[in-house]
Amino acid sequence: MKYPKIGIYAGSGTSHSWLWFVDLFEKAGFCDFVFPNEVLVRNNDIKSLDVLVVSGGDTFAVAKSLGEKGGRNIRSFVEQGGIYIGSCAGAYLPMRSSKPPLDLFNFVDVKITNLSKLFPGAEIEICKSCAAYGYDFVFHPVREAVSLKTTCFFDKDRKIRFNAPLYGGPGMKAHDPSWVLAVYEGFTPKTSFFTSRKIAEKTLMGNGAIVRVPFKKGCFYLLGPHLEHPGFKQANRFIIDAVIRETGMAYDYIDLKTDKACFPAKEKLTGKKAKELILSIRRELSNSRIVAGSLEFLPVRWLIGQKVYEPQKIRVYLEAMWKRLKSLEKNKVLILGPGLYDRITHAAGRITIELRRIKQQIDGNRDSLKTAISIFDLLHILSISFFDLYFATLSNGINQ
Amino acid sequence: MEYLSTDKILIIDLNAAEVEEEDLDETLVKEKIGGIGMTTYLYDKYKEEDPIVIGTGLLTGTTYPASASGQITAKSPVTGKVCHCPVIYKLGVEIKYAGFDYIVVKGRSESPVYLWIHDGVADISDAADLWGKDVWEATDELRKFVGDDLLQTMLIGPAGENGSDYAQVCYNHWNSPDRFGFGKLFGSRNLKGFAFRGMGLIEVAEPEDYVERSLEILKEVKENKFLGKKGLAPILTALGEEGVDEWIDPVTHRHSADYFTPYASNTALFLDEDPGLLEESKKEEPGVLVSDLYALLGFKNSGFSAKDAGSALKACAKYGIDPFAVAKLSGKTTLEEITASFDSISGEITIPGRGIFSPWCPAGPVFNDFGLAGEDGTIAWWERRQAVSMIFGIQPMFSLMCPELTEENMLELASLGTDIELTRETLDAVVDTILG
Repeated sequence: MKYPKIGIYAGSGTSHSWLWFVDLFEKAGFCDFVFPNEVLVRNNDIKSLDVLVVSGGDTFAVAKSLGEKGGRNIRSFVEQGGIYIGSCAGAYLPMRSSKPPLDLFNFVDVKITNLSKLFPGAEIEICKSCAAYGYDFVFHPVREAVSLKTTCFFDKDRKIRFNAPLYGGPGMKAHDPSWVLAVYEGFTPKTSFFTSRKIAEKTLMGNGAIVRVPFKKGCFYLLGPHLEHPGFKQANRFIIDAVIRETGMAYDYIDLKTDKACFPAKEKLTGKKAKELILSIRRELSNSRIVAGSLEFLPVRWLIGQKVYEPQKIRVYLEAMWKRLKSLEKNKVLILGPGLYDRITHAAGRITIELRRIKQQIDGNRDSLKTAISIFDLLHILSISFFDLYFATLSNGINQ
Repeated sequence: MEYLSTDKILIIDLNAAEVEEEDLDETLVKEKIGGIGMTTYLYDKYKEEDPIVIGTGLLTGTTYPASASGQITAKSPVTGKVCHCPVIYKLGVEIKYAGFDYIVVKGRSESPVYLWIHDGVADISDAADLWGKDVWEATDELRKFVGDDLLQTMLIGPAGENGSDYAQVCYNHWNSPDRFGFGKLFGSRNLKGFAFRGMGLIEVAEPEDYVERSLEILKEVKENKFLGKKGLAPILTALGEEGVDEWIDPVTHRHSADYFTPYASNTALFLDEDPGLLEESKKEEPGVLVSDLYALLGFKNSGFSAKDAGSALKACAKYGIDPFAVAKLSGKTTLEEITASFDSISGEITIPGRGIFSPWCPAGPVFNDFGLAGEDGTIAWWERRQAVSMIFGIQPMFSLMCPELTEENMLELASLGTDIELTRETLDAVVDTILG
């Protein structure tokens, strides 16, 4: 059995939601991951992938960092048979747009329904409910859980209903209605309204929530809501099923123990050096979690690009690594790529320093935006490096 | 040891500047239960190196009422005996949640250090910048450095650094039950102290039954009429002291309890601010938190106003010196004289019974009589009660008030929590070892 090689984009512009994809695929038993940043995409290191995931974040920032080369490589990747899964910002990215730098990614004929000529009446959290888009406004009528209903694409006899959270993703109208795999069907008691219910209904109900656009040998999956969110198991299952179908795998979750060739051999770290690395990661993650926890009590948020970041998002990164540390510690042999040891220890230490710095800046009523940008960059770097270490090591342990 | 435990014992060698971890063996728990049962065992194990042993009770940090306490076990530089000092406020809980049930500190560091214990990591850190600072300054500086105001500290002040006999190990900004000069011991090792912070979780073997029984016991506790009272003054009144309420009332701001403890036995005094203030004070240091009954009483009996007594207690907390010893031994009657006398305090204070438990706690029952009669019997009861409280991690002052917290239900909850059958015979054997 061939297991799909999944690339989860973790470069500039992404928010923490790419970590949810890591959780999702890992829980389902997938083990062959890479975490490309914008440089790797521009260098076309994605061509060997089966699936490329672009998660939520700031669409403009993602497009800008990927640039023309990145756009060309993504297009080529899908044309050659790759599966692109875009969630929220990742869903906006390949849609047609005349606005630079999004115009470098004009791949699919899907329009968004949450676009307005007029500034919509935002009842709460204006900075999260609307963003200028040329002379128009992209607005987000609701947040949190909404209800979806699948169409007949996968299963002609059965339409499935499930919930998934919407955090700024689009409602969609596809050029070909058969591309729509699920529509927005309703709201839930947890839905928060940023506009009147009438506008929200008009914008979303009956419009595409999940769209699959065939593109030569491959296809684009565009997910309006965050189906990968860990609190929504049925939505999670939809993504896994889609990957399994598209990559031609058997409809069983994978047995990790049968796979002998998930990762190529890399440098091995054993004994005292391995223990030192784990302790160093544990030390800095703990130091960082402690400050990050205290930041959550402070009334602060940062607007980075087009995206609002709250302190709570810092701990999403840290906890994603922290909860995997015990599994990592059980391995006597750590598998590292070149330069990974230094990258991990350097980034982990820097995050502690920068978090302590930002706490003092906030306590002293000083501007903290630059430090916040640096922290989220470092969190990306550390998470990518950590997951490289983690999955390579676990796979090696299984294969022993 | 899977349950009610971090499964870790930390051994710190200050001579070598090295830390190592040992697993907490379940058979050891079956023999020693926990708390001072275990710290006594660890002290004996490393006796040749005159260790300082920090520990937590088996129930510490759980839903059992008043499961707040930790312990310091070490040889007192004042009495020469191996003594047990309760760790109170929220600190006992934080030790366990920081990732270690027990910490053994051996040796002496060449230069000042503090130990930063967090999420199962122990760092021996340079304390050059903290040495010479008082307890308040050092605590504030550590909290600022680590970036968390919830950091819990166990530090010495100038008294400990200068080798005063009655130097105290203080908890956060406040005085502690240390009557044994453990502050001097820390200072002699070049150890400024500990900072603890943990975001860990404790597993319970039978969580539903454990919580249900805890709540049943809590319900019984709440039926006891003493729970309508708050603070230090009612305790002193119950012990026969007169006029305490009227004396302290003008500066009393609030009362606070230790972790999950139904009686608020700590009283906060506002000294530089109106105690009736309903909003957060703008002043950086408006007052002092007092947990020491007898220090407060000592200053009262020396003729201090409650405000001056509070100021003296605050000065003692900053300097890291036992305020009871200061009140009793300094012979001074003004605040200025008292603060000037800190480095010259000497003499003896009486420690009841075998002299191994802190007389910070009244040497007998409070609010309830527990059916006792006769002084000899009372001291024996008190010593056993202290021992049992500090084996299980129960706030030792509260255990003197609350007959509903019985040895039987402590054993029952310990068994439910650990899935280990712990019997009265085991408890008796552990208490016998502690009491020698």
